[in-house]
Formats: sequence, C-alpha cells, structure tokens
Amino acid sequence: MMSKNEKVILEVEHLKKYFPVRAGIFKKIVAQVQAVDDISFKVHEGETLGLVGESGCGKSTTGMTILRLYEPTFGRIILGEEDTTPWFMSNNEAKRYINKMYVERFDKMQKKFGSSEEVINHLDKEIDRKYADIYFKQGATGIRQNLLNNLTEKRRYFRKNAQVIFQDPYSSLNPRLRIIEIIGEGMKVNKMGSNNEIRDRVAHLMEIVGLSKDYIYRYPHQFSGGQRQRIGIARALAVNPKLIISDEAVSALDVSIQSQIINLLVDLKKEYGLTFVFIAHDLAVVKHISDKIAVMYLGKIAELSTKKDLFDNPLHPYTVSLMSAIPIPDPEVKKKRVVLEGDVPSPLNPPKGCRFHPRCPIAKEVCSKEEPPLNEVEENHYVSCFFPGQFKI
Amino acid sequence: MKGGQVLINTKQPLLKVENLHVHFKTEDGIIKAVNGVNFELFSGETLAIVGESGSGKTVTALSTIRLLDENGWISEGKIRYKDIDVLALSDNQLRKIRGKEISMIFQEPMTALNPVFTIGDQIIESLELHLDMGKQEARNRAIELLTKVGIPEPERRIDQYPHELSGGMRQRAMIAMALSCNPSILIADEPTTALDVTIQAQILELMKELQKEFQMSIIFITHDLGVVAEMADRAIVMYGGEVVESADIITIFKKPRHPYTWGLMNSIPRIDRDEERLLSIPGVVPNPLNFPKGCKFSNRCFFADKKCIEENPNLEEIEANHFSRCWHIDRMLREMHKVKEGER
Repeated sequence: MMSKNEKVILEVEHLKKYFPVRAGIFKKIVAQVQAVDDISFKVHEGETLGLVGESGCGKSTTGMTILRLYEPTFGRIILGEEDTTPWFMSNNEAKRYINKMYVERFDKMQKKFGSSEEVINHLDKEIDRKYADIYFKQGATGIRQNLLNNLTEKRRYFRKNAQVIFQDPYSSLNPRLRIIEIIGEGMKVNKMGSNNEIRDRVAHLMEIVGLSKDYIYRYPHQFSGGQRQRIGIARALAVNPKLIISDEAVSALDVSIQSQIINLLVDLKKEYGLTFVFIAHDLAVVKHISDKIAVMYLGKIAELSTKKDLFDNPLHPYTVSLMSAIPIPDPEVKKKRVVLEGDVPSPLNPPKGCRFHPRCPIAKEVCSKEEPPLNEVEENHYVSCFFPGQFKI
Repeated sequence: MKGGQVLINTKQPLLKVENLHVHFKTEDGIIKAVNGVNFELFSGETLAIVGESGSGKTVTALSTIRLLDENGWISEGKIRYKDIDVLALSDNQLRKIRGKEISMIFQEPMTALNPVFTIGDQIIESLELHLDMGKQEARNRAIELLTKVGIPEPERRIDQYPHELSGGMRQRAMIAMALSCNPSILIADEPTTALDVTIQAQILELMKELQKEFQMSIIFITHDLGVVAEMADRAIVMYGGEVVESADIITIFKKPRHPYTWGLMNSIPRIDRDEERLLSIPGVVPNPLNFPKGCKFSNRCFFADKKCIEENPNLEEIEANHFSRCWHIDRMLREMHKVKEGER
C-alpha cells in the first residue's frame, strides 16, 4: 500500500497557516495564532490518511487550508501532478510565490551545477523536474503562464477534484435546495452530462450511499442526521474527485448511526479506490478507517506512520499518552494510564522547543530549548521527538 | 420486585424510582419521553444510564430532582430519596435537597456556570445558602474545594470568571461547586463529552478519587461505552424512553441479553481491537414523538418478528439482578454470530 512508486494524489509541503490577531483602532497585528506550523505529508492513491489530535492541534485548519477555504501562509500544495498553490492567490502574490519557489531556486541551482540538465538531475521530485523543464525551455514567463493561465478552469478543476464532507450535516446542506440539486450541482457546473443523465446518476449515487432514490426531490429537513451525512457523502462522490477531505464526518452522530456511516465510508473506499484525508478527534474511529495516521499536537505533526506501526509501536510520548487516555469498553481491561497534566497550551503562544515538553513525562533540558524535527526513525515511521520510543507504559 | 433490582438485598437504596413517566408538551404534540422507568441507586455506587439521543436518559436523571423544563411534567411514578417522597415536596423543601443532597454536573460547564459571577462567588453562594457559612469561612472552604479538584493557584482562580478558564478547568470548577455541600448523590450528565480525551482522563480520575473521599453515589449519564466500562458499577441501558437492559457492569459487557445492548457494543470502533467491519444497527434513532408501537427497538432489531411489532415485552429478571426487555433472547443467542458474520 505504501510502495514508493505508487501515485501520489496529494502532497503537502511545509504548510503553515497563521491567523493574525488584531487589536486597537488601527487593527494592528499584535500576534499570530500558529494554527498549522510547518507540516508535510503525502497521500497516495486509494489511501486514507487520518489526521488526529485534540482541539487546537490544527487538524481541521490543515484540511481547510488544503481545500483553500483558508489561504495558506506558507507551503506548497500539490494535487495530482500540479502545484495548485498559486491558483487561489492574488496575481501579485502568485508571481512572488512562483519567483521564490521556482525561478530563484532554479537560477541558484544552475549557478551551482552549471547546465540545466544537471539541475534537473539534482531535483528529487518529479514535480520540480517538470517545472524546471518548463522554466529552462520557456523562461520565467513560461512557468508563470503554465501555473496561472486559465485560472477559472484551474480553480474549477481543483474544486471538482478536492471534495469535502463536513461535520455538521445540518448546516452543510442548503435547506432551500432539493436533494437532486444538492448532489447534482457539481456535475452540472462541471458539465458532466445532460439533465437526464445527471438525474440518473444522482439516483444511482443515492442508492450507493444507502438512500432510497424516491427521496430525490425532497429537501434536507426531511432527513435525519445520519441520512444527511449520506447526502453529503453522495455530493462529494458525485464529481469523481481525486481526493475527499472528511472533517469530523461522524462526530456529531449517535453511536448506532456512526457505525453505519463508518461502514459506508469503508465500503466506498474499497469499491471505488477513493483517496481520503480523514480528520477526527476520535482515535478509535481514525484507526478503523485509516491506512496511515498523523498525530498532531499544537500545529505540528508529532508522529506519522502506517496505522499498524503507530499502534504496535507508538514512538512519541504524546501518542502513547493519547492512546492510554482512551477508555476501553471492557470493564475487565484494567489499563495503565498516563494522565497528562495540564491543558493543551494556546497556539497563540506555543511553548519554546518541543511543543509538548511542558506536559511530556520524559522531557529533558534539550526539549525546552530546541524544536525536534520530524525524523524518519524507522521506515515510513516519522517522529518529532528527541527521545523516540523511550516513553513506555 | 417487578422492574427494580437490588445489588445487595439487605441494603436500603438511597434513591428509588418507580414506574416513572415523564411527558413534554411541544408544538408537535405530547412527547412521552420516559415511559415506566424503574431503578435504584445504592450508597457509594456508580450507576451509568446509557443511551443515544432521545432515549430519555437525561430526562430520567433530571426527574429525580424534578429539574424539568417548564413544558415537562412527571405524569406518573414514585421517587423516593432516603425517606423522602420527592414528588410530594414543596418547591422550598426541594431547594434544600437540590445542590445540597443531590447535585449535578453538566456536559457544557460554560452554559451551566453563570458568566457574570466569578467561580468563587458561585461556590460561596451555595455554601452560604445550604450550610449557613459566613463569608470568610465560605471563601476558605471554596479555596479548599478548588484545591481538591486540582485547580492550580486556587487563591487566584477563585476570583476569575468562567470564560477565563479552559474547558477542563471549568469542568473542575463545576465539580467543586457540586461537591461544596458534600452531596450524597452526584448526577453527572455527559460530564466529559465536550472535553478532549486527555482532559477527559483527568476528569474521570478526579471523579473516582472524589467519590471515595466524599463517599457519594454517582449517576453517570453517557453514550460512551468506554466511559461506562471505566466508571460504573452497574448500568441501565435506555432506548425509546424505556429501560431495555440493566445489570452489573461485567454482565452488561460480557453477557448482553438485549439486541440493542449487543448491537451497540459491537458497533463501536475500538483501539484495542482490529475489526474489519463494525456491526451496524440499521435504521434511525426513533423520534420520541413517534415511537414504534410494540417493542420500541423492533423496527431496527435483527431478531424481531410479528410479536415484537405488536406487543412490547416487559422488563424481566432473566437471572439474578440482570433484567432485559426482549421476547427473543434465545433467538438472539442462537443467531447473533450469524448476524455478525452476515454483516461482514
């Protein structure tokens, strides 16, 4: 599932999202909330990446920033084989971004390595080689054109291919639209068929997600929470997206309904090879549905690995503590628990050094001074901790 | 003893609820939220009331201190606390019990605490009201309580407003307030549902410690089976305004004898297991305005037949202190493995 040559659908590089805090009559920026602070990950085709963490860890902000419902502060977001980062920027910002990300970088490399072929040889990533090739053949104007021409079309392509399922099935469906319009809207915008074809496909999708197609002309208020979530899923599926981001999609549902929706997502994933970023606070739910899991803490990835490695061999003290905090529905299991002291600090003023160190049971002096990088400690198992695997219970 | 249950027969229950019916008047008609619930709470134990939205779990617990919204009333039943007939009390007499003998904590401390008073004011008020303490004495006691619930720097925190505290700290403050008069019963309505899991762990540990120290009984209302397994001595499972199963905690988890309890247990993803697929109970959580006629769970049950649709079974004692409301326990036991396989 994780072999290197498999197709990468989404790649996020050094993503940052800061929210300015303004005060005073001139609305001066007095501080920055570092909601997401330099995170990177890849999602392969057919794979589900779970993003898990407590409130304020930045998991939802990550999702919303990938979707460009927030504009990233820094970083690169690659969908399929294209750098989509400048697509939603203002013209000036986009030019600045392209200059910095490509033009200046390639120029510098050319000075160092001499020929353009050598530059391309030294680039690790396919996507960089692609843009380097364009740059060396067509110059800065060429690469700018490549990234910024037909923006309307590019944005539509992005919106079609990056779909989202929200947490609240009550506020995420337009109450004035009928189900056929809600599910069919994306197909209509993307001209995916005649009205009749769209209607047939909506009916088909409704059956796929477990709704009777007789309800096609009903309004959202005529459905229960679980059914609405099914509508939201059908809407996301309708346009055959490359990627679906699900933000706490089952959190608001009753237990018995939650399992219906989880099973539906698992089935759809298998049947259609869907690629998911599954954001949730509930580690048990994330475990059930994901192939890979990134545990986030205060805007950073604490640990990232396959599900199996994460649960068999958690290496970050936060992951260990988080797992031990979850009550197990079995009264005969008496588990050892590390009760973490204190609250999650505010991302407005994150602790220096490792962000987890004030609550960490094994923090040493270095942890309060330096920030541990996310290192690949074992194959495909990344941890940002100076003492990985040393905290066990 | 139809419908009730006794853990230790020689002991008198602290709280006894018999045949409780609670109705609400709404624009859409009368909601029969709770229909004939019986339970007993013994001294020092934790009883979990488990259920999904609309099951009547919160209404059942709130009824024991008559804390219902204005449109709701107890239409039938008996509630006895120690030797007191709770339903016969005047509002004044009731106020002496609420908060003093039986107190509550809620899911969302931000809405349960008064935002315009400091947390100290709110604890001190209760101490002055119920225990006739003087200002200074009450303040000292409040600081002591805040220390007990693990709030750092209590001398400073006591003068802070609820919004200045984090969610976990607010829940601690609410617990301090609830415990201020040394109640014999604490009703906890989803007290950790809104909290992050590491904070939930702190609060659960705290509640266990305080229960020992204050020797109180807890009614723990929750939908989270993990929390139930960890906290409760006994559990009652509610569905459609009725108790469908009740037993001690080991029995309820190891030998569930109602299709709903069994379904619920098998439909939750767990971190300690690798389930390929969850069991999924079909259908939707019933609307209290329109419960099914016979067994309330019949329209979602894997084992239901015509009888279930027509006639609601009684809550029967199927073995000592284990009660279930089902016509087809035998069929369930025979077929449950098949159902689970079929789901896969």
